[in-house]
Amino acid sequence: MAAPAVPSKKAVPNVGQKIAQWWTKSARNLDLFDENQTDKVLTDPWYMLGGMALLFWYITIATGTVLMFFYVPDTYQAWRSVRGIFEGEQGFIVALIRNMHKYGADALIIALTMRIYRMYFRGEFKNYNQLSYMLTIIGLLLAMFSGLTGYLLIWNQRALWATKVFATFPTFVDDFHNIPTIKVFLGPIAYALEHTLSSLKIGALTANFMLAGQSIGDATLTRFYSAHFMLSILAILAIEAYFARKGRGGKIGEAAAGGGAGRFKRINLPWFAVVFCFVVLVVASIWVPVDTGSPANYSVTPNPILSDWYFLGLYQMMKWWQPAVATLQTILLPLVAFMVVFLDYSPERNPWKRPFWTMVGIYGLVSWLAFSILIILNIADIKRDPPYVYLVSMIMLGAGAIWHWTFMAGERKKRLKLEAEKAAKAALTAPQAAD
Amino acid sequence: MIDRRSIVKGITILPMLAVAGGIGTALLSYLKPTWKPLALPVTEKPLNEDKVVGTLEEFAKDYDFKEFVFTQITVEYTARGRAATDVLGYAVRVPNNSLAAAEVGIGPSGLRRGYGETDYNGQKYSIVVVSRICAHLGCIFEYHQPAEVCSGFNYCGGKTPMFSCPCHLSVYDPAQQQDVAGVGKLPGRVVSGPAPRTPFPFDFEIKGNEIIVKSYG
Repeated sequence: MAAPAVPSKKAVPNVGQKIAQWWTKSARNLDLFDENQTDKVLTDPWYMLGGMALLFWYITIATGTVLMFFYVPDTYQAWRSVRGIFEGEQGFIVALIRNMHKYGADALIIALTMRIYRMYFRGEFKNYNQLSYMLTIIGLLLAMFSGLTGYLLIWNQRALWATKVFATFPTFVDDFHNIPTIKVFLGPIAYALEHTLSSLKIGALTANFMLAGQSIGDATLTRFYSAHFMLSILAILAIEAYFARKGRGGKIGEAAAGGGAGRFKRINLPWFAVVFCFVVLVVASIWVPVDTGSPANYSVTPNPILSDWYFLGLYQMMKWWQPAVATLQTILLPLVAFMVVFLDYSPERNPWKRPFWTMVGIYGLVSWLAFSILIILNIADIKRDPPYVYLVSMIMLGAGAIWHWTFMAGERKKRLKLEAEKAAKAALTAPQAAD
Repeated sequence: MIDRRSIVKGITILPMLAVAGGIGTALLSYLKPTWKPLALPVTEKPLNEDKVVGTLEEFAKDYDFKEFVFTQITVEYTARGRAATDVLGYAVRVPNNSLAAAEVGIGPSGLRRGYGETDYNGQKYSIVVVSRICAHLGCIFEYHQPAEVCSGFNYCGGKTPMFSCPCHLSVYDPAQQQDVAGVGKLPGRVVSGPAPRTPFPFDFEIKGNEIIVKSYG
């Protein structure tokens, strides 16, 4: 008697299993400071960026800890105490340390940004490595936020007004449902936004939480001081835990034994690169001391006023769009950066063989640089410029799409031709094989 | 399955939750804001005093202006239990009949918001009193002549002095009014830049020749 036919079940993983698989593999591939690239770093300087980021982060934390001895977190004395350090009241070394703190943080932001672009253009996020890319972006955001909380501490004009703007822009989260595009074309979403974000006053609450009240004052300074310190410390603890886990059971140069990744190097730089970074930082700190600006004054907003360099692009966006739109774009930016690495799912890593995604990266870089230059030149007209910005965006992304399509069509043609040749060859050789 | 162990576990977890909740509430209570809709006890109304901004004699011509500082006192979760905030303001005399007085929104105190008219010494005065806090992102704006507005703030369409903000180049015309949702028309129409509404008005009255600011916000 024949056994009843068992329908053969092919194990197709469901969504949950796929996510779990992605998470497990990504966690295993995690490479936050290029610590796995112990060989590549010797031949390709681009792989020094991760090590440099960690090196500058350590320098920033170390110098910051020293500065805590001299800084007074109080609106009456904050600027005075920083000015004192600048003028050398505390001695040359402390002044040098303050400059190194600032330039070290700048270098950290530069290194992280460049590393993100390297990972993007080289397709390093592929094959279950998106998590490293995403965590680097989160690291960059934390570094920028640390920078913002840090420069309020100086309590100068730039700090006061940058904080004012930064703490006020979340209030427009409560206004998302009034953005015309959402209101007209995405009615249900507008309704949902109105009855969640807006009615709970999430934006106003965020602003209130950041400022510790309705306006900037002593409480804000205290809050920013603690956040400035806490963010770095918590993040570095997490990184140390990550390294401890990763190094478990293996030493540098040995294969992993106890479940750790084995071969990695914490600050993955050759010794001369470490010395070079340090020397450049010290020379820059001596050569171009960081000025303190004029003390914060509630009753005067200087004209012109600029933020620190890494916020300039966002600042230009605030001038160019209605506030709710600008706020939404600012929030969406990192989410879009997360999304592109999942949308670009092909295994191809070569930037010239995935032209559209390369174009997206170039577009991001170009617009950030262009926005930063335009704000320095003080060029912005909300009624005149946005259509041009949209036009240039469309042209760049459209060109990328056409390039991509043409390239893919060419590839397909080549593949078909190859297959046809193969088939012809097979047809030629087939009779002989049959003999 | 319900057994002795799980019941005992359940009973012991309750006081632990209560303790954790108590500590958590205490730690997180500073998150509680001092305004609607979450909590606004009756005492948390502004506690400030009236402020005499100036006399009508100081506004001899149209577009004459005066700066002032209004100290707003509110209940806050600070050591003193209240916080005093200095709000900077401008009082500007605008040409008569440039604003339709009857259309200007009325505040809770029954006064027209940011706008007042009076006859004094045989002359008619139309006064706009608004805060200098930009309605966009909170910088302090200034009162500029048209040439400065054109060269520094990307707006050359004006022939009269305007309020203009250095941060994001919003320009307001005090002598025009604009509809603001929920309030009615207010002086200080946005003529350029990203500002979403007019400047925040003061509620004030003109008694004799004195301009007296009653409240803000």
